[in-house]
Amino acid sequence: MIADASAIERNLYLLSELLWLPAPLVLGLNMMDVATAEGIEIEAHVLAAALGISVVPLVASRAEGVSALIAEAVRLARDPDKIKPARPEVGTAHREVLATVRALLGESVPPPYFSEWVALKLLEGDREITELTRAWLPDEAWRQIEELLHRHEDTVLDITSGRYEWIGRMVRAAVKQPRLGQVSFTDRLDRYAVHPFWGMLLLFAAFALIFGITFQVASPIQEWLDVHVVTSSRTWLRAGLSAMPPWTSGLLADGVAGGAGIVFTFLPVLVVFFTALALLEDTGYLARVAYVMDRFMHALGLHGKSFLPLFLGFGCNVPAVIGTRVIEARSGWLLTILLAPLVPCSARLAVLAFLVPPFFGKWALPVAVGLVAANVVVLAAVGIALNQTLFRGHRLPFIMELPLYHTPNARSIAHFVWHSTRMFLTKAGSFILLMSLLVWALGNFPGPDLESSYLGRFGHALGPLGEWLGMDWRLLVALLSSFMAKENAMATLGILYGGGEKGLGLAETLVASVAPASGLAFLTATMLFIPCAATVAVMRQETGSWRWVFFGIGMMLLIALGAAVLVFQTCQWFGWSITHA
Amino acid sequence: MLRKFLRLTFGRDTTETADLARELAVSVQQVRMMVETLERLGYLEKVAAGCEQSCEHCAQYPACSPNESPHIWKLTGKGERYLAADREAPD
Repeated sequence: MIADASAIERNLYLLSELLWLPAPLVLGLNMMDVATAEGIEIEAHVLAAALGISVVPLVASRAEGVSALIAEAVRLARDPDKIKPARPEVGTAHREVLATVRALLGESVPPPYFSEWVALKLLEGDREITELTRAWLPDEAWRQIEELLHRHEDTVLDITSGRYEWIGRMVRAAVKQPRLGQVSFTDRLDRYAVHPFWGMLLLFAAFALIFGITFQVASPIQEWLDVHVVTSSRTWLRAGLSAMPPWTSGLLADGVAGGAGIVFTFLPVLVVFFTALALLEDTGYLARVAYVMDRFMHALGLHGKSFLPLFLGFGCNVPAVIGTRVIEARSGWLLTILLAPLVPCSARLAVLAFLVPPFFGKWALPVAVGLVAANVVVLAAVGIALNQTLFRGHRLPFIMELPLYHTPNARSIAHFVWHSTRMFLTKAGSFILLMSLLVWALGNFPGPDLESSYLGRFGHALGPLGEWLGMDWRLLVALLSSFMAKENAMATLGILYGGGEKGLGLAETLVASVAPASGLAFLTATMLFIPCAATVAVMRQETGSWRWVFFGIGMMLLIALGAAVLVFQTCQWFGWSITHA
Repeated sequence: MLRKFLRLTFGRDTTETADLARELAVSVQQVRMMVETLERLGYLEKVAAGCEQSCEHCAQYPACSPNESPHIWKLTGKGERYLAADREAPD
């Protein structure tokens, strides 16, 4: 047998099967040069002594050792009894079963097969040998074997365990395998990255880093675009269309540029955000996040499989809801569908990245990370509450293999960023544009001003709620419009808060008009608000029931409004920045 | 060895292959082989990393990098039955 020395264990498994055959064997250990380069040192003479057969090291590409291998094979062919192979043993508990099967096979096994090997293969559940044996044996003998195999279904574990223990012995005896390069680096890093405490801390640090980079790099560009492109184009459109009917300039300057235009200024924020996310994914770190989050969720008593789709929710809640199909248990599946919209998606994180810096200045980073952390805490609390009441289920163990850390690939990062950005631009240029036009129309008709428009009247009707939440009717309408798409909140704010006339961008206009406490309440509600229309549609599609969809919407509405009231009232209680100085 | 492997997963939520390798005193490569064997024998089942079954509906699919996702296996019904019987059996 020719084995790949650089994958010695895998090849020893095949050898462990071949050793049961009545054929003389010599082992050629090929690719010794590759094994050495990978830090695997194999002592051929020690391995030969442990295996009980000859072992010849080879580098076939350079014809090294080939003559020695042929000479050994010839010597063995002349004297096949020379070798005494050390075969893997079958566990004592099942040796008797093996002997019984062999006895039942009797003389029925035709050459080139032989009964000892066939008995072993039957106990291993080998499909081909099982079919052949059924044909070879009389019905009664086969029935007895079948019954025996059924009763000892798990014997195969003993047989294969014997092989793995044998491989372990051989490797321990003859292979020195220092853990070099990537493996060692991965091990060192994973001591912290997957640690229950340090891993969580690192996860929040990673989020903080993403937000930090976004605030440092993208927010200034976004502000520049807001003031110099969107606001300037609005002023330019109003001036250029002054000869046209007023609604024309209003539609283009406020509805199109002020609404959808604002959403286009998200572009630098999203490019930086997606690049940072792609970098983390391509290094292999995000897989560790999955592992850390999984342990965290188990610790909170949630279903193990739930974290898989929930993890997707950081990108978009829609695939997260569809991803719940991997959960078989109905209770776990429904619970995960209800929790998925509570994961802060990239659209909500972009709104956060847009609004936090102007409101909170140097405190932007801790506020943003705090809001994400609070979101995760709410998700966990809701998960625990539902898991303890409506959705009790049993927990399944998982085995997880994490990829090695490696240098990220520029091309795959560029591909990810390009695709995600294109999706965002398509949405902003179609759906969000239409919604902006609708909001503009509702805010301008029947006239004469915003306060007496349909939207204004609707907003004023929500006044009492707004007082509790610390939000004026425009913030409330923006929050409600985020139901269509989360980015829509910004488009609506762009239309309702105007800006442009004084040369101020939306961010500056908002800071001048909205108190930080109200801004914080608005951001809290936005992070926890009811899922967007696309998510609601897939929730309905997946559950096949409006009942659970309405339950989810109602639950999130209560949580979002409750949390916003709590935040605003707490700020008011302590007298924190209720009004601008 | 495989029995010990399965027993180690019992009562835990998620076990990483590197931890299993340490506890079984074997290499990660050997643990990976054991996982493959247990999967072939029907004791473990590979589960998609959250999205595999719904890729055809997923707008994120072209930008997905499944190679960087963790590989995850769960205990099958056969695996659970085995562990339940193993716990009841006298040592």
